[in-house]
Amino acid sequence: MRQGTGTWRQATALLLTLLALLLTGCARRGQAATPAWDGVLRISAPPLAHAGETVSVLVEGAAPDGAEVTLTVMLGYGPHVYRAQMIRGAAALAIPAADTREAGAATLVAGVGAARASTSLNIVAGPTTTLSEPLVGPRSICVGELDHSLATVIASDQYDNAPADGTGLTLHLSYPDGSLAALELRTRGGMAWAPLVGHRRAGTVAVGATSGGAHSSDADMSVAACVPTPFSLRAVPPGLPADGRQILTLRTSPITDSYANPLPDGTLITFLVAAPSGELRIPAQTIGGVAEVTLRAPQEPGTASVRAIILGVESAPLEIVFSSMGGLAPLHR
Amino acid sequence: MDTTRTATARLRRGPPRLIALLPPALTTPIQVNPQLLLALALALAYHCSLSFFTFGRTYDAFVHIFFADHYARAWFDHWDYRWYTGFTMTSYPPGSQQTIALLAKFVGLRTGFVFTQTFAVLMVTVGAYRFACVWASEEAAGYAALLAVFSSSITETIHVFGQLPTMFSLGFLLNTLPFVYRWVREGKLRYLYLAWVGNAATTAGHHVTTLFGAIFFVAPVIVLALVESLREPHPGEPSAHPATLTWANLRPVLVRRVRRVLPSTIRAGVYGVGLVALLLLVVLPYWLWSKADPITQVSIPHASRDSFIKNINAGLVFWLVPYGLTLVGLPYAFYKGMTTKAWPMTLSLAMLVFLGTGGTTPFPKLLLGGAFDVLTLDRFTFWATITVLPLLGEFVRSLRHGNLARYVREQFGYSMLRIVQTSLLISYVVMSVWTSSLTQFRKFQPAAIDVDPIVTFLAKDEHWRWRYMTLGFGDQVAWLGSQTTATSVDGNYHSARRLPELTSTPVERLEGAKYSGIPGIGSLQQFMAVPDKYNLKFIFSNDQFYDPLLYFSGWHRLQRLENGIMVWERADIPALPEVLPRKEIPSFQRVMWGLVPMGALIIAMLSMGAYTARHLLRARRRWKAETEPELLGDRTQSSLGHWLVPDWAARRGWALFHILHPYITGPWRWVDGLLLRWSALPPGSDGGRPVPWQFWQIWLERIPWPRPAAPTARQVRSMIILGIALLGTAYGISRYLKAARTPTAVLQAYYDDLDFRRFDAAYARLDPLARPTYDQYLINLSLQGGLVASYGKLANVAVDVRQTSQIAATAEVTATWITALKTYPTYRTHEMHLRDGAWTITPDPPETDRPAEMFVRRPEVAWNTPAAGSGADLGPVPPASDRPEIQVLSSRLVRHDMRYSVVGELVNLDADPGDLTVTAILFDPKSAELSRYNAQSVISHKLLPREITPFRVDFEGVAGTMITKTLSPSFDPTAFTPPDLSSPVASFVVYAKAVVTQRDLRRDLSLYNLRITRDDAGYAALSGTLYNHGTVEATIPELLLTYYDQGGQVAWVDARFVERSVRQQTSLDFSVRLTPRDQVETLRDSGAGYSNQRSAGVTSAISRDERLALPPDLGYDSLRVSLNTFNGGT
Repeated sequence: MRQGTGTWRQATALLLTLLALLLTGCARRGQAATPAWDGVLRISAPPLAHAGETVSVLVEGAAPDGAEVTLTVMLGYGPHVYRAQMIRGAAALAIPAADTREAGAATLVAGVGAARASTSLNIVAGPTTTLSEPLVGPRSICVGELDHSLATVIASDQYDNAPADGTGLTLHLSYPDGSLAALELRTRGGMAWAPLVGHRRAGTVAVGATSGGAHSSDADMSVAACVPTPFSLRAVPPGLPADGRQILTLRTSPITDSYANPLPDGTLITFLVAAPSGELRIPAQTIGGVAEVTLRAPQEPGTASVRAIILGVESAPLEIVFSSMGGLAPLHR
Repeated sequence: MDTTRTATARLRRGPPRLIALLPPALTTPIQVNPQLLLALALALAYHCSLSFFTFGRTYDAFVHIFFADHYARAWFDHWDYRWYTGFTMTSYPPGSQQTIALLAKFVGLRTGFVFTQTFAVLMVTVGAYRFACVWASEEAAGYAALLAVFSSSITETIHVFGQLPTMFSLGFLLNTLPFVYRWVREGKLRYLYLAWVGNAATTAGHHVTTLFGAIFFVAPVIVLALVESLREPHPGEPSAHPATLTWANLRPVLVRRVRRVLPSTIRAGVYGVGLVALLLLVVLPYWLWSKADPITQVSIPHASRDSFIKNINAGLVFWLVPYGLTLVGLPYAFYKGMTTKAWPMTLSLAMLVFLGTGGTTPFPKLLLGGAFDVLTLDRFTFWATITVLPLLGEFVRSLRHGNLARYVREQFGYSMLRIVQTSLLISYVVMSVWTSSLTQFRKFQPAAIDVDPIVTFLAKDEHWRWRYMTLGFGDQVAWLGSQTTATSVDGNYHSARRLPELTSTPVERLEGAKYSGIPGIGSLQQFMAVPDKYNLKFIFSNDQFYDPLLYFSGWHRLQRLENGIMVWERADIPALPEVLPRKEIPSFQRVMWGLVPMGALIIAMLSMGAYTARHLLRARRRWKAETEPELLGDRTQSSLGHWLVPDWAARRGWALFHILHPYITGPWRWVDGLLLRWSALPPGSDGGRPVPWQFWQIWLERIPWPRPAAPTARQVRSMIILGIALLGTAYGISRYLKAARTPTAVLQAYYDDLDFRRFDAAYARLDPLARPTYDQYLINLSLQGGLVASYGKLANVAVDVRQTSQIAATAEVTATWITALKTYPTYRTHEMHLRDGAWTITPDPPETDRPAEMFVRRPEVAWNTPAAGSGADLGPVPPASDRPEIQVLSSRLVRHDMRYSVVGELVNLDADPGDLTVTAILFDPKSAELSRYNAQSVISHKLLPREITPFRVDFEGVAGTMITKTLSPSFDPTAFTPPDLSSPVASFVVYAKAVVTQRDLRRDLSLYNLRITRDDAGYAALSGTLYNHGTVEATIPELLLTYYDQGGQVAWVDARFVERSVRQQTSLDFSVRLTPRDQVETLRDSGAGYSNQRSAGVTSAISRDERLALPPDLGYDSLRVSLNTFNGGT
C-alpha cells in the first residue's frame, strides 16, 4: 500500500509539472480601438528627386490639431514610415537623405485616422561616380580586322544606382604601337559596350573608360598573330655523319603573320622528315617566332627531306645529307 | 544478544540471489563480485588506453565519427550533403553516434569516440556477468566477465573493426536479459519496465542487435524461464502424483503443467509485443525510410561469406581470430551446456557457430536464403563468442578447482595443472593483445593521412563549391569527410548510396575501386569521364595506380600537398548550385530522430543505474537494520513524490487503482480456477512419488550408452605427440612444394618478387655467375619505367619451359599485368641454369639505347593563368582566363565491336593553349536525347595553339547495370557497359568547349621511321620509333591514330598506349595493330558540331600533309599519328 501511494504521488507530480509548463503560454487580452477621423486629406511632394536628397512632403486636411499623421513611403527595397502631428490643418514631413539612396519610383501614402491620400515620387540616379573595370571577352584575339572582342563597362552613381539610359561614356584604347583611340558610348540599363578589333600590331591593348569625373581601371586584351606566312628552314650543322649518335638542330626562320608580328610563343609546329628509313614527325613550339628541334643522325647514310607545317601553312623543303662514317661532312657552326 | 545472533545468521545465509551486482553471500554490506570488479578495472585500463592508438586504423571508427560530426553540427537535421551527393541520416540508428556528438562538445570527436567505446566495453563487461548469472554459477559469471575483457572477438571488434554500435547495443542487450528472465519468472512490473527500456536503448544503438538478439539471446532466456516455470510446482497445486501415466490422468498432469507455465507464457507474450513495438518506435524514421526508399542496391561482397578453406585470410580474420583460444574450451562448453539448464543457450550457440562459418559449407546459404548475400556473417561468430562466455566461465571454474583441475592433477600432477592454467591464461591475454595489434602486422588501411592540408585546400578559394573525391584513402575518407563541409560523390556508408552508378554495382567505395574489378573501375571511369555531371572537380590521390586513368581522362595535377597527397583537377566544371536538393521527411520524424533514441538511452541508463543503486543501498540498509536498527529512520517522508503530491491525492489515486483492480484480475482468477480444477487427479491415482511425464527419458535410459573412462596421461601425451608430428609433416610437404625446385616455380616467384618490389629476393634468384652487382641491378630496374613497370599490377604468370637439360633451361613467360587503363600481356624468354641445386635466372643484358653523351639545352614555353594559386579562382571560368577558340572539323557516328562511338577532329585556333571537354549526344527520331557522354581517353585534352586532335566518344550506360549479361566478373579495365538505347539513333551532335590551361603541354616525343608493316598474324601494323628529345621522361606515351576515308573525313580513331616509358634523349621501338575498315560501321556521316569558332577556311584538309598513306586493303585512305604523353615524374 505504501509503495502504491508513492507511485501515484510521482505520476501526479509529473502531471502537475506538465500543466505548469502549458500555462506559461497564456497571454492577456488586448485593448479596444478608439474612433478614427475620416475627412479629406491632401498630400504634396516634388515629382522628381535625386538619389541621396532630402525630400519635403506636406500633408493637409481638416483634422484636429494633434492628430497623428502617418507617411508611408513604399520603395523598391521596402516601406519607410514617418510620423508627425497636424497643426492648424497641415503637417510637414521630410524624407531623410539616407532613405532616398535607392533610385526608382516611390509611392507616398499619408494617413490621418481613417483618411488616406497618396502621390508618387521618382528618385533618379545622381551623376556617375563609379565605373567598373571593362569586362573584355574574349581576352585574346588575332591581329587584323576579322577577329573581334567585346568590352563592357558598368556605370553607377555613388549609391550604386544605374545612370539613366543615354548617359555618355568614353572608352579609351591604348594599342601596342602606342596609338590611342576613344570610343563615345551611351549607357543602356547602366551598361555600355563596344566591339574591339586587334588592328595590325600584336601585343597588349589597354582598355579603360571615363564618364564625367569617373575613371575605370584598365583591362588588358591580348592581340596575337594567328595566321603565319610561309617560312624557311635551316639545319645546324647542315649535315652529319650517319653514326646514329650525333644530333643536328633544325630551325625555322622567324615565323610571322602578314603584318610581321611573330607568332605567339608555344604555337605548335610539326617538322615532317622524309628519311630513307621512314617518315618522322617531330613536334615543336615557337619561341620568339622561331621553332627548332633536334634530329638524331641515322645509322644509315642518305638524304632526308624536311618540311615544317603550322596548321596548313608549310615551309619550303630542306635537304639534309647524312654521309657515311668514312667521309665525315664538314661541320659548319 | 539475540539481535546480534539473528543478524549474524542473516548475513551468513545471505539475501536471495540477485542478478544485479550482488553476490549470493553477503559478508560485507555492499560487496561486489571481485572478478567483476577486476574485469571492469582491466577493461578500463586495457581497452580505453589502447583505443586511443588503434581506432584510427580500424574499418568503421571514422564512419561513426563522421555521423557524430553531423549530429554535432545539426542535431535535428536528417540530411547530410557531404557524401553521395546527399543522404539521409535516418538510414542508421543514431544512439552511439549521438553519444559521441554530445561528448564531442567537451572533448572533441576522437576522444568522444574513445570514451563512448569505453562505455560500451564496460557495459558489455557488466552485461557478460549478468548474462552469465542466468546460466552459470556466480563464480563462473565473474570469470565470464574477465574472459569478456580479453576476448579476442571483442578485441577485434573494437580495435580492428571499430564497430562501435555493435558493442554499444550489445552492452544494453546483455544487461537487459536478466530482467527479461525475472519478468517472465516473477512477473514484477519493474522488471518488465527495465527489460523494455533496455531493449529500447539496444535499438537506439543498433536495431540489428535487437532483431537478431531476440532470436539468439532473448529467446533462450525466455525458454529457460518457461522450462523452470514448467518444472516448479505452482502454489496450491494438488500434491498428488500418479504412479503411472494413463489416458485418464494424462489431462490433469498436462493441465497442471499448463497452469504452471501459462502465466510465464503470457508474460513472455506481453514482453514480446512490447519488444516489437519498441523496435519499431525507437527508430521509426529508419523503418519509414526503409519502406519509402528500400535498399535496392547490389550487395557488397564480404569475405565473411567466403569459404574459409579457399580464402584462408578470411578464415583467419572472421573465424580463427574471433574464436582464438575459445576453441580450446568450446568442446567443454557444448558438453556442459547440453547437460545443464543452459541447453537453450547452447542450442543458440550451436546455430551461431554454424552460421558463422560463412560460405565454407553451403548450408548457411540454404538456411538464410537471400539474406545470406546481405548479412555480414562474422556477426554470428561474434555473438557466438559472447553466448559461450558463461560456459567458458564454468570451464575456468572447473579448471581452477573443479573436475578438470582434479583430472589434470591426478593424471599429470600439481605442477602440470599450474602450467596448464598459467599457459592458458597467458595465451588468452597474449591472443587478445596480438589481435589488438593485428592492424600493425597486416595493414588493412593506408598509412595515416594528415587531412589538415586537404581541409585547408577545400576551404580556400571556395574550392568547396565543387565536389571532391579521394583515391587510396581507405576508411580515412570518413575522417576527412567529418573535417569539412565540402561535398563528395563518394562516401563510406554504402547503404546510403543514391547514384545509380554506385547502387547498381557492388562497389563499397569509389576510392578503392581497383579492388572491385570491373564494376569498381567501371564506376570510377564514369566519374572520371563525365565529372561535369556530378560537379566533381578535385580528386585527392594517395594511390599512383589511378594516375594514368586520371591523366588520360583529362585531369591534371594541380599540386602536391604537404602531406604527400596529389591534388588532381578537372578544368571547366560547373560549380554546385547554391541550393542543393534534399529529400525531406515530416517534422515529427526529425524530432523523433533527435529525441527518441537519445531519450531511450538516457532513460535506460538512469533506470538501470537506479536499479543497481537501489539494490546496493537496500543491501546496506538491510545490513544496517540487522546490525544497528536504531539508526534506521523513516525515509519515506523525504522523497520527491511526497514533497510534490499531498497525501490526500496519493490516497485517492490508490483508491482508484483498487476500484479497477478486480476488473483486471477477475478473468484471470476465473481461468486459473478452471485450470486448478482440471489439475486434480482421478481418485486412486496418487502414487506417492512423482513420475516423469517425459516418457522418452525412460526409453533413453534403457539404451546402453558407452561411457569411456577419461583418457589417461599417457594417452593424452601420445595424442599431443601425434598431432605435432602430423602438423610438422604437413608443413614440411608444403614447404617442399613451394621451394624453388623447378624453373617454373623460380620464375613465378621472381615475377612475384618484382611485383611486390622485393628486389633483394628477386636479385637472389639471378644467376650468381652472370648477375651484376646489386646496385647495378637496381639501376637497371630503374630504367624500366612506364605503364606496366610503374603502374601495373601482376595478375597472372604463365611459364612454358621450352627446352631443358640437366643444368640449363629456356622458358617462355607470359605475364599479364593490370593497369587502370588496360590489361597488358608481356612475353619474355628467360635462360636458366641450375646452380648448387637451385634454378637461377640469367639476367637480361643491360639496355643498349643510352642517350647521346652531350649536355642538352632545351628552351621551353611556360604559361601562367591567374587562376592557379592566386586565390582568384572564384567561378567556373576564372575572370582572367579565357575560352580559346576551337573548331570541330568533322564528326561521324560509327559502331565498332557493338559499341556506339562518335569520332572526329577538332583544332585549337587560338593563341592560347586550351583544356578541352568534348561531349556527344545521341538523339532518337523525335529529337529526344538517348545518351550523352564525354570523350575520355581517346583524345588529347590539352591542346597547344594551332594543334589538332582527334576524338572518340564511346557511349556507356550506367556502370555495372549490364555486367552480368555482357562481362565476366574478373578484372578487365577495358570492359564497358553498353548504353540502354530505347530507340534507334537518328542524329547526334558534338559540343566542344575549352578553357585556357597551363598544364601538361609538353610535346617531347617525336615519331621516327613510321611505316606500315604486317605482324606475324598478317594484320597491318604501324611500326616506328618514339624518340624523346626533351629533358623529362615520357612515362606513358599514347598514340592517337586517326584514320581518314577517301573523302578525307575521319573514319575511325584508335588509341594505343605504349607499355614502356621513353627516357629523355632515348628512343623506343613500337608496333601497334591497325583497325581494318570493315570492323567499323558508319551510322551517320556528319553531325552538328557546336564550339565557339566556325571558320569556313579551316577544314579537315589542313592536316593532309601530316598523313601517311595506308594500303588499300585496309579500306582507308590515310592515317595521321599524334601523341599524347603522361609525364609521371613532374
